[in-house]
Amino acid sequence: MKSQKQFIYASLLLISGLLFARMVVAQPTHDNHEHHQQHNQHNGGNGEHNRMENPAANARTLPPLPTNLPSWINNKDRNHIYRKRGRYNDDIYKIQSLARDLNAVAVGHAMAYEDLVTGKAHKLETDTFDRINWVLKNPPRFMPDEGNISPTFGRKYGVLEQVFEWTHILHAQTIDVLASPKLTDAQKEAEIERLYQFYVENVPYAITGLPMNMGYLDSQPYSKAFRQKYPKINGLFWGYHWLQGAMYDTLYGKTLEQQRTAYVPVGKRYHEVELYRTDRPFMPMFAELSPRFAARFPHISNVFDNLHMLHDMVNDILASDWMTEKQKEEQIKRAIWMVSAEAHKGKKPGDFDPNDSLHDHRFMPGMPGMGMMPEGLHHGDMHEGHGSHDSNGMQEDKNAPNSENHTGH
Amino acid sequence: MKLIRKQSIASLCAIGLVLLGTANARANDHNNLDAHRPLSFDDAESSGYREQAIKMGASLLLPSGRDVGGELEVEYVYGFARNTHLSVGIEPSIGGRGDTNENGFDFGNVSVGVFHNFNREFNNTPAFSVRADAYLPTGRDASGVDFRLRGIASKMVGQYDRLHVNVDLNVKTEADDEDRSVVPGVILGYSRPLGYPRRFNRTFVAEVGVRASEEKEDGAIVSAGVGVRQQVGYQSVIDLGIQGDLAGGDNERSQLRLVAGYSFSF
Repeated sequence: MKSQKQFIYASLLLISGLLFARMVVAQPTHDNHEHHQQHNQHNGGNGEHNRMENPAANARTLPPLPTNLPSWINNKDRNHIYRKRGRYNDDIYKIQSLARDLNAVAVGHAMAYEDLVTGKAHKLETDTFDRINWVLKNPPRFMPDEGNISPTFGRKYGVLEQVFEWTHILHAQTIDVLASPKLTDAQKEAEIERLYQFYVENVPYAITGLPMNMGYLDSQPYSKAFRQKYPKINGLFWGYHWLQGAMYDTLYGKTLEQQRTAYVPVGKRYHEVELYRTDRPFMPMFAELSPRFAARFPHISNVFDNLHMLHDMVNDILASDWMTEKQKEEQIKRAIWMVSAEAHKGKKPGDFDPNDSLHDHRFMPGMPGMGMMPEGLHHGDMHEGHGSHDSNGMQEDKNAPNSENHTGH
Repeated sequence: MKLIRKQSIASLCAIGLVLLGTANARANDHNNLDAHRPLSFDDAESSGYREQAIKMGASLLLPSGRDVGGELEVEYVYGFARNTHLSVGIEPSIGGRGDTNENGFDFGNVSVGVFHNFNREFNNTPAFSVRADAYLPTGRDASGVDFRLRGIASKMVGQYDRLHVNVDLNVKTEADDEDRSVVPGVILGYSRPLGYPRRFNRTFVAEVGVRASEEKEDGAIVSAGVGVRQQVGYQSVIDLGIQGDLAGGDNERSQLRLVAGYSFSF
């Protein structure tokens, strides 16, 4: 009788464990299987390839590197390119508190990456968190060079560092323009477009301005590993992305004095709440945090969302202990390629070929990408007229700082 | 005469201080190390493509048994291609110097150089660069063009310590009879950020170097130095250093050199 009970308990435990593992690891979108098969076809794969490309079918089977990767993805060059010259550069320092918060963000990213690749991952939620948190509370006066804070990470993933660096510069310069008291609103808008052109024309490793399907990007075999293992550090990362998203409408169309005033509550909320949230179902998205800017510059907003998704993908890869170093290097290259401008050359917003998951950027031209978030809630006004998105609609953040500006489309 | 010399040294120092005071131009990276700012070695990083920078400094020269001297260094750097930059510099000096008995004003030779970085540091492979400089005979009593070819390797040792090996070959096209026409040298440089994980704007540098004396009869000259680079503006850095000869040739005076500089990018 006793052994019968033990058998029943053991069976229940086993079944629960299997169900839980399936829920945690797979979490596919409704058409995930189809998407991955289609993506594989895009990369010229065969039937075997298709089976490997489907992360939902086997969470420990990695999709192979596409065969059509450009040479720059393996370059060993430093390739440092100076930012576009402009009289607005560094004007962010006119809003000192925001400038310093952004300086600390650079440190936070770099410290976490360095610890992840130097065998200190087990201290990420404790020592690393405390170290980063100190810097966030005592932000540096000048923008640090992330490459110098994370030299081991840079030696291993130099091209990734370049991808990050260049898009961070686009972030910094667009904010410099918005903060500039020397430019009119019209001049600011024109210069922001010029900055985008400079970005896409001067670096091979630019990120696409198309609205990528976030549900697809976030359903790789390694996806969600980081947020599950390191919720506090992941909260900081998403907190940085919250700030980077929210700051655009905080500054957009305002005078310098208004900008300084507007940043006071935003900065307070960033420091007191957003940095420490561990309950977000998905990373903060641009169009929910800065709807006005995102509506005016959807392509730039998409670049930043795609950059932040790349950060998540890299975090997840580095946090996946079951991968070898070689597999991590390959998957990071693949992740770069998936969000790169070059991979999507010639495509346009609104393109959605059900046979090609890589090119699932189905939002219309002029509309800020909201992604296809598998775990979020439907965001009614942003998706009006786009009923096909309801199963993957974005998370709703009723407390978004700029929600009063949410104009819809 | 002595009064004129003192006035000249004071003028050079004043110019140096004025240059130091032009704060808040643009981030020259305090971690991106250049020769003379403040020590003799370069790291293997080039300036960014399309980046321009002005690097300047003032040195107080204290040669053994000679008058105090001063030197001003000004260099313009332009990243004209990816991983490659051009530099143009002058080094006017006055007063006592270790390598000559002259102590009047000397405009110095104008230098033109090209620096190319072949690769960033990856895995266990150092970053490699080469730098070639030509020194035009614009200085007092100068004749012929001098050249210097410098090979540079930079590599991390440990997490944040970095070593920089510079191998030099100096060539004089019109050397005096008693002088060497080819003067080899090697410098081992070291750099480390100061203040991590709480401060991110300061770098410590040190070096030990050995080079052949310019005079045929003399042996090697061993020198050493320490310094610091500190970011002081969004894109500007000051540097402070001290260099000295530990052992020198018989005919060249050893000297102590105190260096202060300011660099900015734009």
